[in-house]
Amino acid sequence: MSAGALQAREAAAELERIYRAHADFVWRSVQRFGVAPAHAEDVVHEVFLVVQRRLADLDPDASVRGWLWAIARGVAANHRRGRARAAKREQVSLEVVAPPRPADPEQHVRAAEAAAAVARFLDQLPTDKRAVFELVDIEGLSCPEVAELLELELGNVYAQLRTARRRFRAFVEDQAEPRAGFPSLHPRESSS
Amino acid sequence: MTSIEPPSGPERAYLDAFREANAMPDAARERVWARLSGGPFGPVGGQAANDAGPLLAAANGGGPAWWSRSSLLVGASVAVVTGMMVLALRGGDPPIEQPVSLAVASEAEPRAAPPVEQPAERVQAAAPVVDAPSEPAPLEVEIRAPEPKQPTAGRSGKRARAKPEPAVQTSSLADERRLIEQTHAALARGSAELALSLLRRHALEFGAGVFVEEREALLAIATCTAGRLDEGRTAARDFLANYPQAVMAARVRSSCALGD
Repeated sequence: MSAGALQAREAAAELERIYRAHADFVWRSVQRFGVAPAHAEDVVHEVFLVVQRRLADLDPDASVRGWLWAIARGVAANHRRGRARAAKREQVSLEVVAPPRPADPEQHVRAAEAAAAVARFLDQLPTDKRAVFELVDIEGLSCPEVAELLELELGNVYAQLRTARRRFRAFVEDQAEPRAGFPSLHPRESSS
Repeated sequence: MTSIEPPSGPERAYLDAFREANAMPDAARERVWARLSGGPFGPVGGQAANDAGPLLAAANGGGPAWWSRSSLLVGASVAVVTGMMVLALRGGDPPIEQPVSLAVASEAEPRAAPPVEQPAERVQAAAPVVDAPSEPAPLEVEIRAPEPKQPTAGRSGKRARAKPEPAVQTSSLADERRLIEQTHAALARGSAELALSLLRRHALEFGAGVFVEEREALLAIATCTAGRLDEGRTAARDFLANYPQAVMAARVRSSCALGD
């Protein structure tokens, strides 16, 4: 096998590794950047095409997720510009993406309600706090990583996160109130 | 620095539910990977792929689709040019530009609205439903104005549509049924967004089609499955009001957790 072919094979393997590990993250990220779920699949594809082209540029010491996040932001912005007109014609509001359907419909409904509740919470959160909260508490990035991605002071990231977490805690407390006959995920309610 | 307590207990449960609900569906994940890993022509990207969307990817088994269209275009162009050259050598007038060549020219635009199925299938299936007989170019079917969605009019609504010619009916009915079946399959796989996409397409192509009742039911189910419960329940209640005796009524109630 030639050196070029070997290199191509290694690049393909690396692309697959990154894709398998981070497709979910990219999927959610592009939607955070305003891509409708109906188009998310194509935008994720575009993101990984860029990844494929720039694979050689990836710093092995850098955060892969941070790199993907930056690419996703750019691709999503391009997509939004291109689809702005078409998006106006979309009739279905697109906030939450298709969840896998569990066998238990009640559990499915509870999980869907919880997910929808988190989406509502995120919608009411200021943009800066939302970005920090999502990246740290939903995507699992570290505060230093987020500080670098968002170009914020680390102390600022901690402050935003602290406020967002406090609000989320209060929000979840509110969700414990029985609503429409659906049991909550909250343990106080489920135990009563 | 003040320590920050990470979410735990119910907060973590909410966030986990949100993350799971927003995970990339397996089918989409595999389709994207198939497109990335590519076929004999390598990965395919660009706006054309975007415009075609997941349906195109699914219809083509995840592989590149543009090359088959391109081959068709090249072949058709060669045929037209060859015919003109032969006539010119015979001393005759050049032929009037044929609708086929017009269609080919429009298809050559990579950003023109692409078909969501293989062109060969479209040529056979869609040619009879072209509205303007003077322009029989099959690719016109792809950009014709969609039939506007009719307001729901109960069970009688689905029979209110004028009967087309038998050939048209057969073709349209088969296409319509296939869309509904694909929607069922998407829901069975948990791909609610794909199901919604198929339903939107059904509404555009078959606004007052034979399967309006099924579409309305599937719309409610898919919307609830996608987690948009308020919107889904509204659709479910509309459906149940319009079709109280529908076969799918129980499934709609179950999927949207509506009581009797």
